[in-house]
Amino acid sequence: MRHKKIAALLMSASILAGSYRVFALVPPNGSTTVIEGVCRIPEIEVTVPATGSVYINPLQLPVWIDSYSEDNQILSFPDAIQNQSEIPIIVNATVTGQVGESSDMILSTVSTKNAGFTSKRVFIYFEMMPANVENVLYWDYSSIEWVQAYDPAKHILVQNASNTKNNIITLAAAGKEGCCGAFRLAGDCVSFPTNEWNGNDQLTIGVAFTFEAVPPDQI
Amino acid sequence: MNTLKKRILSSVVAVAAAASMAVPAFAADPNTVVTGKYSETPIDVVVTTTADAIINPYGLGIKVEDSLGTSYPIMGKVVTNPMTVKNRSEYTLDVNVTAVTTATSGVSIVSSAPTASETTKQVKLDLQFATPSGITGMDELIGDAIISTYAASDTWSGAAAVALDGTTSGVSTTSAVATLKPADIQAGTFMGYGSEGIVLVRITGDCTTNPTGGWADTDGFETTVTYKFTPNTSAASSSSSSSSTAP
Repeated sequence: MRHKKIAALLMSASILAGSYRVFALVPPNGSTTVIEGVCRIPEIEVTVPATGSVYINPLQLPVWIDSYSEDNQILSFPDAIQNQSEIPIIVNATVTGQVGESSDMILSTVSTKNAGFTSKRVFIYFEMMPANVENVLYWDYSSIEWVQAYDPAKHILVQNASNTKNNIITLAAAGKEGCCGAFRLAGDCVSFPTNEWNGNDQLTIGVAFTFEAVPPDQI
Repeated sequence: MNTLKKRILSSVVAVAAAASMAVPAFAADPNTVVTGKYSETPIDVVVTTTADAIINPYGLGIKVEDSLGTSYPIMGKVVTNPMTVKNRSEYTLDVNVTAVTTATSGVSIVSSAPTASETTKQVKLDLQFATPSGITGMDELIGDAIISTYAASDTWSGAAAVALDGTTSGVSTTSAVATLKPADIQAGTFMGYGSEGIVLVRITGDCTTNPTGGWADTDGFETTVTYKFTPNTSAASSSSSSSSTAP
């Protein structure tokens, strides 16, 4: 009897010894990541020239513009706006003309060519065409294929009252072909008005641009 | 005479028998005491604590630069900067998550990608986990590998995904979304992450392209991901307590 009792005790001790390293499941530990999501609306950034010049050339004298000579009655050195945004943008333009106080010049609503006008009239419109960074960088717009005649669907007539054309041009994203919008003023005038042209005949033209992003589903 | 001899003989025999049957002497205390002790072994996991996500209707994506200045674009309608879960333990760990997402007013978290004609602000979000094998070594050496691997589209082929919802209780996984292999531990010292010891995490998804009124930079969401690490018992591992540290 005594033997059995001792033997039994030894057996149970050996079982415990084999299970010493108990695999204790770890109480769940937690670590947290907080993710904050926001909607990214691309910034619209456009470089716009501050000033420009336009010349009334009634006698169509030759004038050098860039590397070429022009003899149009309305001459302006082309300039450009440049899209610096990551996305293409729609350009809207509002043009307002203001004749100098000392001038009797009239902003005509129709071309003066062959119209028989004798009053001092000038017909001016704003035109915009796609251009590239190189045009702006080297100030060379000789490659721009300007429309040679006034087109109300594409151009903005200069008047005393403001005229707006929405989506006059869509500019490609920064750095891409067509990311710039070259613009100029063109038109004509009465060559020999009854009241001759003089130094008081001045004109100020304001061009205001607004921009909006092309909708994502149209990119 | 014979009787005396027999008596003596029997006595001698009896004594001899008694001697041969003598029981060995035992210790005074026959008891054995077995002491069991809970052996604490740390689980060390490093988790990204905060991250940024972008709802990206214009598909502009984000760019992440490595230490050499190499830029990696990360594209998609919903993108995040790289997130990681890194195992510094000598044990294989199963990873489960609970994710709770809330959206700003006017934005809905949906279960399917918005249709092209959808006009309300909807966002479909998937929390994805990838466990690449090629990122090993010490923290100082793996940063660029994490970025380039994260940005590679192949990394996410077949990645485990958890669809997020906008409920207050969120979503919880019961099957491991990833398994972290052990780190290289030598003489108790961390020598570097082991192969498949790092999980890359991201949120991806889709969003309404052009909702009525358009998206605003105040539109967004916040997701809190809580990780749960448990030793993988099918691997040769044993563990007890746990701890985690943020990078």
